[in-house]
Amino acid sequence: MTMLHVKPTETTPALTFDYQANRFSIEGESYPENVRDFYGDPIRELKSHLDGLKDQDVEFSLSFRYFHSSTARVLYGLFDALEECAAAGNTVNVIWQYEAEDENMEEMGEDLGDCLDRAHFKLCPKAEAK
Amino acid sequence: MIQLQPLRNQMRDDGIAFCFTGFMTEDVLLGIGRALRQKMEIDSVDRNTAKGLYSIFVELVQNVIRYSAEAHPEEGDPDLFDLRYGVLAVGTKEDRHFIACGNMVENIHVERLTEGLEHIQSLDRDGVKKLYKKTLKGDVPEGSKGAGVGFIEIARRAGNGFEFNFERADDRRSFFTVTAYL
Repeated sequence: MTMLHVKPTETTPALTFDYQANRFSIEGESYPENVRDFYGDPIRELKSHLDGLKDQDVEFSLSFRYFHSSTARVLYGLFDALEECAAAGNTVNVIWQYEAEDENMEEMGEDLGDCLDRAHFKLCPKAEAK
Repeated sequence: MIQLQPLRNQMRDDGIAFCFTGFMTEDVLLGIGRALRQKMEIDSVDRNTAKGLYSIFVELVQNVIRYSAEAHPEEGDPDLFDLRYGVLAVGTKEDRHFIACGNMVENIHVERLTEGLEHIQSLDRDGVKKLYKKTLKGDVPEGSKGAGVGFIEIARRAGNGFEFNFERADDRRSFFTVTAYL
């Protein structure tokens, strides 16, 4: 697979995984009833792709309006995979975008960012979106 | 004639703006969720409070959908039940927003839930945050179908804390209520 594009719904975010350019993004709201149904295959595929990378430049951008606790578990797993990818010698940039006044989303980003050491992490407040 | 007005008056007196009683499904969650977001926007509820309330709402309703021990059909494998009964109320009392949710649970889970919830209640904000991270990185607790962090998320979001109680219904089940305040 070279490109995955999943359109957002009311309870699931947009996924744009460009495997050729190593540019990935997740954007929107995330509170599906069953996270495995939504994230299972894409994240598995992504992890096996990251596992095979060598001397690559990877950018992962996340921008959530809201996510629930089951999604948070998926994100912790994803951040572990990104850290491993960086530890394997790749350059990994992780960007966490959030609405400037959303204190909780900022804190969630900080917590997740703490899981990264070799991967670079950046918090990016955005002007408030309506 | 079924009299709904006494029920409505009772709810108004308790500051309840929204109440749903019945089988909860993902569609019910989305419908109430939309109305709730709309209501909070009209009332100009502070954005962080509105997001916190919505988050607690989702965790509580998904708990009912996953775990309520009052389901349809009554017989059969509990994991195959597709309609779960619960009660949800959202409102304002003494300048605090509250969201309350109740459902039946099997008595065998009461002790485990009580211990877990009392532990969360005993923690300060930083402690709740640490437990949240630890739980997300650890294993899913036994008997949990979801992340097992729903109640910790509720504690994180409930700026004015949360309460819970179990009312024994019969030999098999108790009615479990959680109320979170913001």
